[in-house]
Amino acid sequence: MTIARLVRRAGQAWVLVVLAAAPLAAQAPDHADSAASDSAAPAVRTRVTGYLEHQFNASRSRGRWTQLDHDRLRADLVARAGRGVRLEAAAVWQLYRGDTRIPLRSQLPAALGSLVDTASLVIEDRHFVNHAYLVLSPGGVEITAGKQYLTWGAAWVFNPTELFRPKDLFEPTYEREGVGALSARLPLGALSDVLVAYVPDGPFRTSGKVARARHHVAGFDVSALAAAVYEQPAATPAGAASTPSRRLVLGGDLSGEVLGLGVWAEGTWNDFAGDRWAEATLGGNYTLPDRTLLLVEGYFNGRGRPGDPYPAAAWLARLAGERRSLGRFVAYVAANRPVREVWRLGVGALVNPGDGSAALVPSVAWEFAENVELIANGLVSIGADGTEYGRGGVGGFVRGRVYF
Amino acid sequence: MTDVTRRLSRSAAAASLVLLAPCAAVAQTPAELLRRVDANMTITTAHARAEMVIRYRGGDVRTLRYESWARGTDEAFLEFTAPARDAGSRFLRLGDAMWIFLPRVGKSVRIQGHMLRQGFMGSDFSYGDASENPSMVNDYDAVIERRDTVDGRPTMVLTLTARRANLSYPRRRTWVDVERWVPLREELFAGSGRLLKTVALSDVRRLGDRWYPFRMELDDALQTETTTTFRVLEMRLGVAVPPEVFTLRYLEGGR
Repeated sequence: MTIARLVRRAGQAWVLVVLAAAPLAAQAPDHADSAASDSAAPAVRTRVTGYLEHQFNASRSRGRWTQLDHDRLRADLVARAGRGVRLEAAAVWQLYRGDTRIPLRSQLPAALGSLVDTASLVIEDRHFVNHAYLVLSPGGVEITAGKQYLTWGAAWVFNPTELFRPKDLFEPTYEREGVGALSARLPLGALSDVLVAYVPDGPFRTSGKVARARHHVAGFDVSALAAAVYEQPAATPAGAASTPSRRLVLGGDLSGEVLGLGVWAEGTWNDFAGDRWAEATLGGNYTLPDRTLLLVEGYFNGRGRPGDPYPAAAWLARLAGERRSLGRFVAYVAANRPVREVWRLGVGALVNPGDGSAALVPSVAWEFAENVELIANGLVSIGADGTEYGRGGVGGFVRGRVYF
Repeated sequence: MTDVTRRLSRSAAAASLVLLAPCAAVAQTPAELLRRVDANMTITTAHARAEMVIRYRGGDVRTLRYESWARGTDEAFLEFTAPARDAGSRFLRLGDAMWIFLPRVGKSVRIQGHMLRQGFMGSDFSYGDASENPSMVNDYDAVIERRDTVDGRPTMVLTLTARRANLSYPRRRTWVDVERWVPLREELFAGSGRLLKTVALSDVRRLGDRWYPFRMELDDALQTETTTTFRVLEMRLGVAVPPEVFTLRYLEGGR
């Protein structure tokens, strides 16, 4: 092998120190380091980590201040019991204090408040298993059994292909619970695989079934998804019981670069209880020379309305996390940059141009010690009562978290 | 000297030209110098434990530890093991593409486009630095500028100019140890000639028949708040790395 061929794909030497990403695809035998020829296959080991978090939340809406305080302890366990066998689990204890009974009418437009009368949303202490699953990889197929992460979608905030756990739009990167499921993944290459998942929920007929394939083509990560999940039609103010209906979902996403910009797109076509609609997200990012990251994402919701007023069922469905938006078009824009060493400033905004409402979410993070995070988030609602983001008032939270 | 160096030095010594020069490198063309560097730094597989120390101007220090695996030029996998806050965060690089796995979100995310300009885990090293994989000899034209000494080592200073447009650093100046074929210092410039980063490599150790820097200090000239030091704690070359390590499935499942 010639030297020229050896260096055909050589990289910058100092990068190797970081990634140990040694340049070059192949190597003559005389380049082998015989002093270390044993396998670097991952060893059996167990790791326990976690954090303790305290958060104080205060908000003012319709002339009334409320506070909500919580402690959250999370413990994560990862254990590998030999090659091809792994288990992961996390337990969470979360204790609330303060105004733990929130009148539903405070979450709805004044015109709809009378529909829910004195009903309240009660926030109770929680002790739960965030995820607990076993992964077995016999013969190349990866089988995962237990409460596992089934989170999909290339978009940052609005993920139409995410079927099981609604995202907190005001804090889209916050952790979410797993979903009890049995899944199997068949690898078809380094960046390609096919996944099928069965999500037990009631009898077999009403349990969720999902198939998802992903591939890397022409520089883009591409996936396609087909699912049948059973959901209750959106709750009604009368609270009438209803049977789950099948929701068929066909969708997919892609992410990659266009003209040097990171871009992503995600969409679904849905058929649920006689209602058919599409959802789509398109987004991109840009970094200024001072490392300020700008992010823009637009979301089309075929079930949404071009503007207010929105029906009561839609409000309740959004409150339950079943809808990502009330409006047909909403957008998320954000800017984020490091400032003065261990500080990071950001501002995000959810905007509904159809009804002229917006929610501004300024944030500041201060990592004043290793394994410690201090985060303050604000919320300022702009818009009239009855608009999508106009009724949230003002508020925010301060959260301190210590990892162990 | 490495076997390769010795062989090349012997053949060079046979030429009358080398008699006029104090070191074999004088007889090299700039491209040959780069090839020698690349040949020294070239490996099939590697496994390393390392730490990244970010020093802030106000005195704060953050130390992150990680373990990495690499195969050839295009495949690398990295997992942070400390501090607890970052433990379990993993990166996969395949060619120019990079993905990160966020353990508490349970999801992998492609790092792409302008996101690559963000600091790698808050360091002076950008994600783009890690994902870009230029061939020095093929992607840069080199000119020998002068001889110099770095940390007592004889070096040749090369000025490199990019041959293609989409490289992060269109110009660079590199100090190459002409006996060990290791770069000891680099200055990285924008197309405008503005200095973007300086890199200092040191603690060069022998690994088998090659020399390898175990310490790197990186200073982002545009970002004056920090300096970043990488230190290799342990490195093994030629190890057997399971092929499934360099897959999205492994990134999301981890070790």
